[in-house]
Amino acid sequence: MNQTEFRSFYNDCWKYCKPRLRNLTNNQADIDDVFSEAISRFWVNVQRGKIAHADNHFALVYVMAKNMWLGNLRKEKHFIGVSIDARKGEDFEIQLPTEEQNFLTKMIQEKDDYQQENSIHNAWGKLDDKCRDLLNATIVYKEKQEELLSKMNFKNTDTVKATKYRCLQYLKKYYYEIAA
Amino acid sequence: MKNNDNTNIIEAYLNNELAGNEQIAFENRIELEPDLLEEIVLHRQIREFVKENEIHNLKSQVKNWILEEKEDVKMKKIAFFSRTNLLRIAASLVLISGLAWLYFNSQSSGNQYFAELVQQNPSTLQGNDDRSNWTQLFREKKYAKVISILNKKEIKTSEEVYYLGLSYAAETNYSKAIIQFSTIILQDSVYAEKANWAMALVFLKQNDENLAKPLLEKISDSDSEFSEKAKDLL
Repeated sequence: MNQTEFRSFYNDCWKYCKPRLRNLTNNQADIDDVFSEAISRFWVNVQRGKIAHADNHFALVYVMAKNMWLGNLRKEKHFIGVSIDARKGEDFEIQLPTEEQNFLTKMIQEKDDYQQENSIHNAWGKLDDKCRDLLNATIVYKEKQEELLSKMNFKNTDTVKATKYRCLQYLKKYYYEIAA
Repeated sequence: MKNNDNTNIIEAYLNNELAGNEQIAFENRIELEPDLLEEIVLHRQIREFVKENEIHNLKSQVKNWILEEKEDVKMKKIAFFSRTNLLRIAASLVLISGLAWLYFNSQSSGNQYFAELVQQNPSTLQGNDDRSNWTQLFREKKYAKVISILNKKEIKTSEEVYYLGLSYAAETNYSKAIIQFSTIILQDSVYAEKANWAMALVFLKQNDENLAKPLLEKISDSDSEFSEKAKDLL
């Protein structure tokens, strides 16, 4: 992942989202939480090529964060006697195409559906940094083997493939050991 | 470890990298090999975990950036207020020092003039025994006795009233001192100039600058023998 690009995206996106989210709630901790969740989830999906054609990325992050905030409110039943739907009017006139709206819903749903498998988490902790970086690059960011040659100092693509294989083997080995 | 050799083909299957016939063959294997299916599920879980783990890491990073920004704003505010406060404190110290200097300077001048005032002995002009008596006592700084003698007199000269006032002032009975000096000023006697000056000094002794100032201004504007001293106090 390009750290500089992400930082730059964060800087501009935060400037866009912060005042809008503050218009929804004065709770700074809530704002920080939903924004950081939304931008991270959004960034990973963009890098994976899932949101290639969206025009206004900042607006999408804002809508994601807002929907997460509303979802949290519903779950925690913070709204007592106040209609949540009534607050949906505060969208700053962001009208998303149905396709994008559906995708955002799916991304938020992924978060809610995900249940951490502790055995995998523990097995992951046993991998060395190079394995973790390689699996991140290939699984999360879908980086091609050729791109990883110079980035991770591999001699050739076969080495990349062999290393990925070895890392997955170790991860599964650790998993089975822990789960046993 | 289970089915080590399946790792690459599972990854290829999950990445949709298998050719049409390869994919069909592999899916047939899945139906026949429960362990393979279990391994595919594990691969899916691993992928999901790696993705969610990365999102979690990015989220922590973003929260750190937000925190850094808040700390930065906080530090800038502290620096701003510190700088402003330092300037305020410095300005206040200068102002206080100046005022204190002026205050103590005027106080010390006032005290000095007051000391001179009460040491201003009556003239040694010959008079009756009565006058010789209280003037002598005044020179000896026995102010209480001077007050006692002069208060017994039903009719007092301007000189006696003036020195009665000075005696009261020396005894720090300022209110009675002011009454004596006021009497002289109202009588417009030859002691009026001295009474004005004495009264101004008594007001200063009482830290009543509001009353002292107009008197001192009046004295400084006049051709009184005290005008220079009054200007000094102003």
